[in-house]
Amino acid sequence: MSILYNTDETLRERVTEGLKDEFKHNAIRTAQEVFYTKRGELVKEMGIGWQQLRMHATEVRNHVTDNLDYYVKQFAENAEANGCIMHYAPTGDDALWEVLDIFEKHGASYAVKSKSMMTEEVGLNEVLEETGITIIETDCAENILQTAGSKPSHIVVPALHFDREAIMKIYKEKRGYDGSSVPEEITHFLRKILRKEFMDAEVGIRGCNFAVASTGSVTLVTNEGNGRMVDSFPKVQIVFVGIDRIVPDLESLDTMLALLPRSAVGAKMTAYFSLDSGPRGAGEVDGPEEVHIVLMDNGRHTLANSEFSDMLRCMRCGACLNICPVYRHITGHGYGSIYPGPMGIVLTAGLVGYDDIDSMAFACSLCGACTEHCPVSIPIHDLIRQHRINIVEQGKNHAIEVPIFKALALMWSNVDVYNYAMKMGTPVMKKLAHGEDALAKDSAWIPVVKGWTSTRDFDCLSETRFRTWFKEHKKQQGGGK
Amino acid sequence: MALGNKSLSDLLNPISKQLEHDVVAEHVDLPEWEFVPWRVTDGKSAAELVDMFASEAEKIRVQVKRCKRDELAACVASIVGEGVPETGEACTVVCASDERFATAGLYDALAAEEKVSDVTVWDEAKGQANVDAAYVATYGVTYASAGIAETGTVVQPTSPACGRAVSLLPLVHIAVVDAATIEPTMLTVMKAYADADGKLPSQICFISGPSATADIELVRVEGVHGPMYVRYVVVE
Amino acid sequence: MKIAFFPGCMVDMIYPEIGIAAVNVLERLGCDLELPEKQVCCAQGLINSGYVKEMVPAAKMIIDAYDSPEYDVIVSLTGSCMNAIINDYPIVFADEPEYLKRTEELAKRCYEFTDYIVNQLGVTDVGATFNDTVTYHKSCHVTRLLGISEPPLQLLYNVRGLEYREMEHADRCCGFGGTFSFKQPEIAGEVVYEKCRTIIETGANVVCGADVPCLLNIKGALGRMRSDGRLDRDIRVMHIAQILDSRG
Repeated sequence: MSILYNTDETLRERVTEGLKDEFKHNAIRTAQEVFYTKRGELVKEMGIGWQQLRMHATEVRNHVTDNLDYYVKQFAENAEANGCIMHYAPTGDDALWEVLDIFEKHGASYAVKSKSMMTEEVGLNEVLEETGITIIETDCAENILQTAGSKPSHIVVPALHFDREAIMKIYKEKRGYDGSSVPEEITHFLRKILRKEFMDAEVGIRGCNFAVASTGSVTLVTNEGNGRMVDSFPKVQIVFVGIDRIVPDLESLDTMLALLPRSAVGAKMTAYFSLDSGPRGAGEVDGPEEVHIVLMDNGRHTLANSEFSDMLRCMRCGACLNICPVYRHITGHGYGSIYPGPMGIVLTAGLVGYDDIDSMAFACSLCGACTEHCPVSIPIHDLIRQHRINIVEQGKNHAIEVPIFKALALMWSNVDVYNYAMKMGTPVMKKLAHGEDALAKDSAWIPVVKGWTSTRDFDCLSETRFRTWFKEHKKQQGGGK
Repeated sequence: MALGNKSLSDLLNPISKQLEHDVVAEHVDLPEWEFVPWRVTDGKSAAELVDMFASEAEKIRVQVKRCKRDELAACVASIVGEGVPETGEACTVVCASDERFATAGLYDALAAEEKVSDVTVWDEAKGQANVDAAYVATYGVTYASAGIAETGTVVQPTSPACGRAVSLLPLVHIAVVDAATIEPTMLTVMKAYADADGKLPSQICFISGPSATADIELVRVEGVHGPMYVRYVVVE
Repeated sequence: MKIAFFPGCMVDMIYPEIGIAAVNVLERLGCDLELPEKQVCCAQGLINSGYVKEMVPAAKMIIDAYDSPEYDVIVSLTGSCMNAIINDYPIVFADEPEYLKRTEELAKRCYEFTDYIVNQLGVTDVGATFNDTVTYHKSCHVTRLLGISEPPLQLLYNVRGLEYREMEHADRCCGFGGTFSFKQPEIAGEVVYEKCRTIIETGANVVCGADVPCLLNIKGALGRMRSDGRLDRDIRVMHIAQILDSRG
């Protein structure tokens, strides 16, 4: 399982570390602004149609989730009828086993890959590399990450934490690049070196944005064209398909594609959207001769018919990341999961449980911007909170906080306890504030309070209470009448 | 349980169980959908859709030329006649094999261009040589099966007469599209495929502009793995 | 028409002046207000931290305090408290059918302060005068989760002397998020500093809002920025009720 990474660090350590990297922090904020602004313009242009598309996509995806076994079966049977070789992977390990088997049967040792979250999820690259197979990431950003040995900081533009100078240096050291740091020049260098690799690779590995049940087709949305290269030239193709990628028919692809690029990067369409139905046909001279589809569950079925079933609608557009007030500061690296941001919290905790995620589910202010922007209306912030509720119910919360919340629960449910606490608390607080109106920085040693006062002042309890004033006020009103 | 070699049932059983289904349904009807989204193309005439197609294409940095059917060969030839974009050097062309191109006299017109040193017409009998030609070609010329007005997209199915390489490997992709085949949205294109009998082409590619990335500092760069330039020739 | 006033615990504990201003505004408009004795706090901090069962007694107390035939409507001074009753209590009372039913009934009679004035009383000019530059923080609970976006602005536009200045991304979270701001201070700090920068950029002398917790957060951050030199002028933080109560 490699959904989580950097698990030896706490969320707080990762965040503190990340905030020191001003370039990364700014880069992610800028990306958010750019995507968010462009998206906003396109949504406006679509008028009422946007909300209708959202609702339609929601009903289509819900229908598939409710009948997931039927649609998985229909997709599998139709893909097989198209001539694809099916591999069924209830778990990620099953998927790895199947892929290794394909490589072994072909005696293959050289593969190109276009970005696929499913392969990240099972740690495919690491496993293949261990067995001596060379696997080359062909998406520019993924190639940068692979060459640098780094992890994605953004779901759509994953290498944004490197500036052009750093990228230039990486390729100078590792690939003999001798050009400038101009993005165009570096990109065209990548075009040149990767072209040959696409042509020479024995196996192409790719993901699938949506799988069509009625036709057994898989699809791929890309801008760079690396996905097309991967599915045009290697003789053997391996497609990773998650069981939550299925749409019922071709018509629903239009709905999904009307929402996906707009939500992801603020574009009406990506440069390429390909719909693949089986290996190359008779008389065709390019395209794969053999298509293997690895249909993988890896814990997704547990979300169906559960409090998290809405999450199965997710199409991984990243719109929730692009609006999240937390993500923009802590970046993809803060979460410690390959699925970052609001959707990442829901999905990660849903797939791996609560033991190893540290405080990830609490890295959210529950502001609801994610829910508002989600193209398939997933109540993301409610689901994040549901994870918190489950964490407390299962006793996976920090033991130290329990008495604090119990005390709050007692105070908030009993006006006498509350009044007493206020009476005791007011002078104490005033004292800690040295007679001022607010607790300042020098109070950042006090447990619990320091959480706040390390970054902000905290106004003291008032010496006059509103309820006391109100009682007096009503008395005067009564007296006046 | 041992790894690998799992059956479809091994995959389906836990899903059915989670859904509290005793068996996987034999058949599931699609419900009557509650929402029929309004689209910007609704109510537009055929002529308006052609205009929209052209203007949307230009927004995604596609150069669009419009011509009459009898001008097709001259129009495409005038593009490749400029040689390699920016440098004007001599170029080679790979072209889909298509009755309509032959009728229009396109192949001869291309070969007649001074700056065109070689024209390869896709021929399944030549096998890999087609791809090799595309690999080094400056121009790849295809006949799109449809255009999509909403997004300025061309629809490019793969076939024995036109491989994937033609619209992918050359530096410039020229897509010829009949105005009569321009559809409002992807929906009508998909409906047509859904209604048609028989197997879908092994690939249908929806192409919207040049290959591009913004992976380095969000700076847009065109010409990553696919064509750096895309031109449409709309035949009216 | 009898109004049960729901000031929120922060008004009672920290900012009585906000409650007083709201009472003044509503009474001037002819409202008859009551403050149920037993009400303390909506307790949303518990569910937002995952403590649902622990929240049941506090939520029951709120329902018992406000669900009374003597009150016609409930007017809340803080969007997030009202949101708790409407959207959170149904989860808290999942196993309490009687309270669930009462909550659903009560929710229909709950109004946020500005929404009540504009859409129930039909008033957009409360006769206030406030001679200063003001920006408004569109808090998540009022704007996004309760869907109240126009009323506060309509009321501000009609305040004499007030010069309104929209901040960039006014509807972006201030980073309070209840216990989030204690549990994740590094993140919450970054979020609120950014909110403060957009406030400062407007050049306004006053920032106002309709959600008290956000104001506590923003005030705390502006105060800290002022004391450590990141802010070189005073910016007042006010609840919209205080502006509407102002007479120049």
